[in-house]
Amino acid sequence: MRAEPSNRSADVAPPGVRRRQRLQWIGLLPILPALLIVLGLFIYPFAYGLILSVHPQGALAKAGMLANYAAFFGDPRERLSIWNTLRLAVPVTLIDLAIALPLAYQLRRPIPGQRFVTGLLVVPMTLGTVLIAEGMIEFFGPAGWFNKTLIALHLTAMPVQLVHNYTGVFISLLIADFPAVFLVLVGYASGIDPNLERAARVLGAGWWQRLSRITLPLLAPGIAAAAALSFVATFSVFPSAVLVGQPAGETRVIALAAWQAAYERYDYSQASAIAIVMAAIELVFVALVLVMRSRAYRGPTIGGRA
Amino acid sequence: MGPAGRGEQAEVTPVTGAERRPAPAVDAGAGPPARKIGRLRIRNLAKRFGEAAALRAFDLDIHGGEFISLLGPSGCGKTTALNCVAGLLDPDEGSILLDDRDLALLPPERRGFGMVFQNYALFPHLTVARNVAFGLEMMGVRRDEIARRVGQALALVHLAGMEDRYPAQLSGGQQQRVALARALVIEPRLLLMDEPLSNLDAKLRLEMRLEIRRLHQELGLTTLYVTHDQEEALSLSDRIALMQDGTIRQVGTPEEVYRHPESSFVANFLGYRNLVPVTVEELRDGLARVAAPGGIRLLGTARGTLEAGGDATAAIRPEDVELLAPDRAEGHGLPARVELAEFLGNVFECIVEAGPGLRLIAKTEERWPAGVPAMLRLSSDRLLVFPKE
Repeated sequence: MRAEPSNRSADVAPPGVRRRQRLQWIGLLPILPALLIVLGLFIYPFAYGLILSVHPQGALAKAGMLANYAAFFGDPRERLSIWNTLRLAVPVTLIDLAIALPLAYQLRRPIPGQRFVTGLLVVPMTLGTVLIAEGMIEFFGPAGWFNKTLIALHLTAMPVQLVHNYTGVFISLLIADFPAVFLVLVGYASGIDPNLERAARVLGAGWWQRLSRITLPLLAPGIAAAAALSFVATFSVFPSAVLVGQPAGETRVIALAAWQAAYERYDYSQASAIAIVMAAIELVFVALVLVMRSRAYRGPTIGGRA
Repeated sequence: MGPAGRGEQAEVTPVTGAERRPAPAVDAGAGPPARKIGRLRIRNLAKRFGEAAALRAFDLDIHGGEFISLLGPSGCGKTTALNCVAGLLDPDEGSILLDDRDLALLPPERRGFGMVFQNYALFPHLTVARNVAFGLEMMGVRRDEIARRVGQALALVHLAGMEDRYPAQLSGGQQQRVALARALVIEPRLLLMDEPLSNLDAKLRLEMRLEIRRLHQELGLTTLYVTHDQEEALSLSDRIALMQDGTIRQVGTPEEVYRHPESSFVANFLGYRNLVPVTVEELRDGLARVAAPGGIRLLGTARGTLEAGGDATAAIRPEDVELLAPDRAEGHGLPARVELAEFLGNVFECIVEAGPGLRLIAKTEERWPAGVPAMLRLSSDRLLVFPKE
């Protein structure tokens, strides 16, 4: 006579179940390398920087834990670096979104030349900011093709100053940041069932109603993701602020302020504090975007069962 | 699963011609009667996609209140035709006239048609009620009126109480009902349906088929229905248009096309599963004597223009292939051998070999063991001989 399985005590798992549980643990092994990388390359440096930032060095050593932060916010020139960065990151993010959105929407389905155009739009990603900046100095410089064309067309008498100022950094970020925004949006846009717009159309919706009631709400999560990515990338701008900007003046961005603290004044503690401020601002922006996104619809973009 | 088994409300009378005319719209809480159209005339419609002609010389008249199906294999152009009528595709040639008004310049959003898509295309970010209300909102209907009509439409498809659900929270059958309600609530002049049942399992498909028939009888909506399922077309339609390669091969009531197919293509699509390539030997009194593979002689009813010596196709339904034990056949019939027998529940289906290259499917009442000899009888009025296509 064998005991009924139901007579077993509930907390003693049968061998088969225990084996499955063991296998579940083994199944988690593949994420271990990624976990170690996140711990070693992100969590640890971040924690280290945070601790460093609340242990001021040099003149501020006795001024309390928050002395570095007080010094940063107390100095108008340092404080200005936040504004200098925001006034690049916010418009660049918005303009890239505005350009990428209609393009991504048009290119969401295979159309003739779609691969080519998509490829072309993604090229800046492979160049990197330094290469873009160097190209810009040539192209947009006083003797570059752009100014030569303007002068030849009698649109201007003197070369227009387009590099080594705010405009230079602005253009370079616009170019460098576009591919990521575009790719994220294309991903979301191509996931939207084309029948939804057709259904809306047959039900009497004109183009604006289809856009505002169907397409944009369904794209909202993608817009949020692209905005967050773009803002974080542009807010940490560094090379182009130096190469095509005016690093001592209007493009003295927050990353530059941190760099100067670390490598001109050798105050790692102060530099860490600035980096933490930078991270905090990025976090606030991402949180803001995520809150807005959670208010928009989050779910499948295909009606019914495809 | 809320509305499962609701199909019992629908008519279960057998499908016969006389009863197929739609009843006038009943105002039993079913909303006001639909705006009736007189006639939709489609003339010489053509549409190409690159090199391929998706639609050519497509002519069809649809009368007000009629339920008409476009039936054909996948890729035959039926969905293209539907999309042209909806305005979602611009035909390369031809015209679509609604009560003598050309629709060519009227965009889909101003045609006032209802459409049910194969995958339902419910707006995933809107609740059931907002989905159904969408068309009315676009028309600028007053808020309280919208609420009233949405409530009516949902009651009509047995979805009352589901207003605040999202499409992803519904079963396939419920999603289908929402799609129907969304199309019906705007009281469309014409209802277009693109394979609406093909994503449902067999049981739900039957249930929704009855539901669609009930709605059509209740509302009398002029309906153009696309399907590749002959049973669906036969059971729902007032008339069926059979399509092949972008054009209509035959139009008629379900009985007409079922009983009198005009070509071997139509015959094959409507259950003549046995198609045999033959040569016509003699034509007399509407009968054709033909030679089948293996030199076997068959006598059938001639259809279309046949000529002696020409190639033809003989067609017969499995249920018309009579299988007899050799001792009971009294020498009449074709000697054959049962190769395979399959039990289908109500009948058996046998594959029978009557000679080299002549293999027929037969339906039988009792099981025939594989390998046993049998006699085949093919009645000459059930065996149809068509010109070769």
